[in-house]
Amino acid sequence: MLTAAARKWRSFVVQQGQVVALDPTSRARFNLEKANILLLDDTPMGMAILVQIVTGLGAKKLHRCTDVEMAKQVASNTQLDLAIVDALPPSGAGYGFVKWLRNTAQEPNCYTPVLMTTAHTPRSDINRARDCGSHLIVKKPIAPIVLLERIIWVSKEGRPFLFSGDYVGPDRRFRDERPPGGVGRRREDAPASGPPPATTPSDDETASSASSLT
Amino acid sequence: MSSVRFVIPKLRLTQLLKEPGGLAVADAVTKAGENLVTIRPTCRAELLALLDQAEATAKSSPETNRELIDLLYEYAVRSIGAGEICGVPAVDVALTSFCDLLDYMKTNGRFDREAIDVYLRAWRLLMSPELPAAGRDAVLAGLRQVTDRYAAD
Repeated sequence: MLTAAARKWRSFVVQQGQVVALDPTSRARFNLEKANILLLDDTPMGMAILVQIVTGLGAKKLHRCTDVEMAKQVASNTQLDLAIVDALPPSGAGYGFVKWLRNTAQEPNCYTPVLMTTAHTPRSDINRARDCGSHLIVKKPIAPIVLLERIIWVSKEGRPFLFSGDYVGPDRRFRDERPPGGVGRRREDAPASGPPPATTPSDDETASSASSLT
Repeated sequence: MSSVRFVIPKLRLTQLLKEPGGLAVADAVTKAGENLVTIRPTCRAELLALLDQAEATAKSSPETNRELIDLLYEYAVRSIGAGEICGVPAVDVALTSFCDLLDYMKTNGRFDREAIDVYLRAWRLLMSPELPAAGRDAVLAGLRQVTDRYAAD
C-alpha cells in the first residue's frame, strides 16, 4: 500500500532528472473557487495574462491591484489565501510590497503564500528578490501548468515561517523530497509477470483517479 | 544577538484546494490556455506599441545614455511574457537577453549604441510569426553573442 507521501507524488513527473512538474494530463482535482487571490501587476498586459490564467484554473475571487498602495489596502481589509505579485520592474516595488506584507500586515495575512512573478531580475535587485519573503519566484512567460504547480506547492503545510531580525518569511532552507532515485509513477511500472496476488486491493485502487492534489 | 522565532502557520489555501468540486488539472490547464488565446490580439497590439515606443525613444536620444538604458529596460522588461501569448515566443527570449545587455551596460557603466539598435531591429523581425525556425534561432544566437560580450566585464 502506498504511503500518503508517495500517493501525493503520483501526479508528478520528473523531467530532465531535475525539474518536478505537474502532469498536465492529470485528472486529479483541486479547487480554487473560494480562494481570495490578490494579483499585483502594474501593466494592463501583465494583469490580463495573469487574470486569464488564474480564472482558467478556476479562481473566482480575484483582487486586481495595479499598484502597491491598492495592494496594501486589499491586504489590510481582506483575508487573503494567495498573492501573485509582480516584482514591478524597474523599481522593484513588488518586493517592497511583500516585505510590507510580512512585516506589517496582521495575521493571518502576514503568512499569505506569495508567488513572485518576474520577467527579469537586474543584478542590483537579486538580494531584494531573495530576501523579500516570497515563497517562490515564477519566471515570465508564465505557463498555466507551471503556475498551478507552484500554487499547489506553496499551499503545502509544514514549511516553517521565520521571524528574525532582518528577515520575515518562509524558511528559505527547505528540502524538496522527491521520489527515491529514478523512481517514476507507479502506473508506468512494467506489469508484473505471473498471477496477481489474491490479497488486498492494489495500489491503483487504493488511490482513486479523482484523488486530491494536496 | 538577534532572536529567531519559527511559526508553522495553518494555511486556509490548503483546505480550500481540497474542497469538493473544482477542476481536474487537465481541464484547468486547457481552459487557461483557451483564455489566453482570447487576449492574443490585444496582447499583440500592446507588444507592438511598446516596440514602437522603444524605437522612438532610441531615435530621440534622451539626454544621457543612462536615461536611454533605463527607458529601454522598462519597455523591454514590461514586454517579456507577451511573446508567448502572441505566438512569437522568440520575442520573450530576445527581450530577456536585451534586459541582460542593458543591465550589464548599466552595472558596468558602458554604452553601445550599435548593440541596442541590433536588439531593436531583431525585436521587430521576431514579431513576425512567419519567420522560419532556422532564421529565428540564428537571430537569437547572434543576440546572445552580443550580450555575452558585455557579460564578461
